[in-house]
Amino acid sequence: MNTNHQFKFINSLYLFKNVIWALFIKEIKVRFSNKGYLTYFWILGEPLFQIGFFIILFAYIFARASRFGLPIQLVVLTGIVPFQMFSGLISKSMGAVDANQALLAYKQISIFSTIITRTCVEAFLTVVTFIFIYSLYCSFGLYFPIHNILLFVTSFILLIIFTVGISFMTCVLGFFFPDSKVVIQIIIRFAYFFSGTIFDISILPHEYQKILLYNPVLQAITLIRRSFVQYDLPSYGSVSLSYLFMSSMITLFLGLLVYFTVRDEFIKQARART
Amino acid sequence: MIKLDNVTKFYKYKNKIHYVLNKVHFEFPTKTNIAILGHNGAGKSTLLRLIGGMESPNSGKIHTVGRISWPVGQTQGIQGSLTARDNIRFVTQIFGKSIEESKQIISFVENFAEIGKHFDMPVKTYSSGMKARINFGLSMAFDFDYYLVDECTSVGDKSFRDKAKAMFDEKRKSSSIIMVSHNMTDLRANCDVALYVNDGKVKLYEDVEEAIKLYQNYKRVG
Repeated sequence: MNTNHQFKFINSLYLFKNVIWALFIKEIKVRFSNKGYLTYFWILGEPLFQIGFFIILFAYIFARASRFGLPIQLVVLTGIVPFQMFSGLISKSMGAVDANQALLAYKQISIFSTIITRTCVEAFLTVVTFIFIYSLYCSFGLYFPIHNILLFVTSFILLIIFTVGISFMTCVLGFFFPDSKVVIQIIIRFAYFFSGTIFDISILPHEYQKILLYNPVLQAITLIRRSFVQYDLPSYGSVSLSYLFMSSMITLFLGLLVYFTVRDEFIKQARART
Repeated sequence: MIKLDNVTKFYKYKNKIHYVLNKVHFEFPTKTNIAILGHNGAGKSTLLRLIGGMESPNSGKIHTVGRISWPVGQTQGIQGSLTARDNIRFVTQIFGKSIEESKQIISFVENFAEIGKHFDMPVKTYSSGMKARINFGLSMAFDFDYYLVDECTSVGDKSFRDKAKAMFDEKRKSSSIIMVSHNMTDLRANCDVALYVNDGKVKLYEDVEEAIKLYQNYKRVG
């Protein structure tokens, strides 16, 4: 009987993998196949335009984006692309139920799997975008070697975990209170300016730094930025990997708690909408 | 085995309550094809959705043992922006079929549904008949103990309906078909017993003809 339980456990993991894979392929197909080349262009084009705009803005209008002489191109790359993953996944999580409405007819499809799939899609596209723009820089002769790849990868993963936690909450909220979708979008807009996307936190006065450092997204972005430079950067101490770690884990826990608490009612109402 | 245990399902519009099923206690017979009849709004599709797990009863429980298909209607279960091929591939993947099996299933549905080159165009461009045929063929491609069919055999020309009948006869050997339809010819041809849904209650008739007469008489009076 022991082996029967083991078999069922592994079988259910296998089934879950099938569902995620099938949904992943479907998401990619729906996003890219019918719209032609404009979609490919815009996935990469959107961050590129933002980055280009802010490089020009800071290079010619403002003096600098970082106290420590970090080049503006690096600052905006490490700010805008990760933030786009954060805001993109949250938007997608709120649309996850509507987009997969027809497929909820199949018992194997749960809302949990749609959110996990969308996370994988966003993370994948973010990595592609990052590599693309990094290569673009290299082709212009701007080389930014990563000094601490472990920090880079860890911070990125923790950002994903944090975003997943938030996206479970926004998915539930957006479903049961449709008006909240608009409010959440507005909050994300503001968060753009408080997350160190287009400037490094080091240029702010200390009192403001202290407040903004409570934002895990800002922490993640700053750490990703720091992984491109040597260790001895003065503000490194107040930017904390352990804070990012703990806030991500707590947020993930809360997100899952919210989701699983309402799950039965959620799936019941979602299926009935077809 | 499908069993309804004191099931009640109602819909509320403002202050009015409309009971679709009212304390229904019923067990579906096995290995027979069952027709579900009733006038418009009696609750046939709702009953199918309850069995298929798409809706939950307001009170009571539904016990099911065995594999039950999704309620096969015209549009449920199909993603409009993908092609039929992609949709079928999606379903074979979530059922854990191997690549070989997927290919067989795709070609089976392609031959069965007969929609020609539309097979590789987005489903949202199809007519309702095409969508229904794809959906129907797709559910027939898998092994279930109960197949739930909601008014999608009536779309299609005679050759399609002959194919559907042959398919039903094949499936009858190992499974049951539960079919909702307003088309009496289809019900006569394919089903052994009939379930008449009316006024929150269901009644089983061993003779399909008897149920059909009841349904037709109701229409004339009401």
